[in-house]
Amino acid sequence: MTTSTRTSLTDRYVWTVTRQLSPESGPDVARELRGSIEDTVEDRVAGGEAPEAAELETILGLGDPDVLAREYGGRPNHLIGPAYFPAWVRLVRLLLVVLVPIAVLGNVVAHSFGSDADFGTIVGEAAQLAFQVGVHLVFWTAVIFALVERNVGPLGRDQLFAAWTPDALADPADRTRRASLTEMVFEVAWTVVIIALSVWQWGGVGDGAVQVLDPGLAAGWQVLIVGLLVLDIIVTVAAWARGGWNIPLAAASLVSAVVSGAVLVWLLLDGRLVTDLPREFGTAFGVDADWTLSLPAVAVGIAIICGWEAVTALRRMRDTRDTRGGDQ
Amino acid sequence: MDEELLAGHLQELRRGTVVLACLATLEEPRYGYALLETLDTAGFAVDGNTLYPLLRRLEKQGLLTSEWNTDEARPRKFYRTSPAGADLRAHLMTEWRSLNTAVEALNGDLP
Repeated sequence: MTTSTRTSLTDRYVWTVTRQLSPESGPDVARELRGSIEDTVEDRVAGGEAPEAAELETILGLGDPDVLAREYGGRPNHLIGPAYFPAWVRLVRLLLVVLVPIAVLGNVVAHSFGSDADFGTIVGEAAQLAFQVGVHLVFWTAVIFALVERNVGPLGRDQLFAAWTPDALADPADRTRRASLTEMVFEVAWTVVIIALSVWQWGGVGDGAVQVLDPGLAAGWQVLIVGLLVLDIIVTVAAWARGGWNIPLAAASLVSAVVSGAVLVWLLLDGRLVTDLPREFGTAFGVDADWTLSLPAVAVGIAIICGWEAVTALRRMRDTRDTRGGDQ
Repeated sequence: MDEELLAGHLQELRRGTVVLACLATLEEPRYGYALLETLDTAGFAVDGNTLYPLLRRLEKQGLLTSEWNTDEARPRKFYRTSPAGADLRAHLMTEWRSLNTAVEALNGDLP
């Protein structure tokens, strides 16, 4: 009785450890491990312990069979080890920042044409999509890195990932001096184009062009919208001229983003901002209007763009605070 | 002192010495459990779940050679330090001595 249970416990342990090993090393490890366990038990029994207790203690001393099997197999006891973890975090962060906004915006744009979904549905779907894209990104990159960790030796690492160099260090001063010349020119040019398009649209485009913005919008609103855009230009140029953002300029840009977002969304939903687009397209191109413009989707799109501007402004305020007095 | 913290740092400090002790002790062939006992008596406390896989790893790296002995009732795998293992042992020993000197020098500065 004693003998049979004793053999069975050791057998079960040895089997659990070695079945996870390769066919070449498994049987050899099994034979040696069994011998080591029996040696230990024998020694403990000679020291006065009961055989069953001695075997139990020996097995307990060897610990979790899965951990031991990994030690024998030279396999890591982690998913992504320190050699690859920083590269994985960098990649995931980059992909999340790039792909999640693209997916969400794409979804909202798709909704703008021919969908009669309401606000809740559009926002809910966007949130769900952002979550799904995030989960997929994290999961699949983790799987790939875990496979690489297990199949590429330390020598292959340098070929897969560029070695870190001091050149890759970000300069906190760069973040404060976000207003570089290129960025300034781009923002100003872009805003001027939008102002020109708006003024042209509100003046009435006549035949041959599509009337997108409603020319019936009260002049006061037109002035306010153009005014906010002009404010954006002034703030951007001012930030560039003084060599960096400061709190008042960033705050002005934040106010401009929030106010224009609110005004545009309200006018849009009130039916005063855009024309009946399908009908206008139909007249301009002589095609049948078999689609509709989803106002909630466009509103969500406006909210995302203006929200992005607001977040950028907030970040500029924070960056200014971080390094204030450092190198001004 | 925090027991867990102490245990962690002690383990960190001892980690490399087990390899050195194995390579030195296995100038004479020994099987797993006998080596464990010898090391234990010599003052190198090491667990079986660390030592047994370590022997396999060292063998794979060519630092140990092994041979099954089936003369006795219980077949045992005997390990022995290879020439490459002896070479590494000499290097590790030199490093240990210089570390020891450095640590002693540190200690001399203490009150």
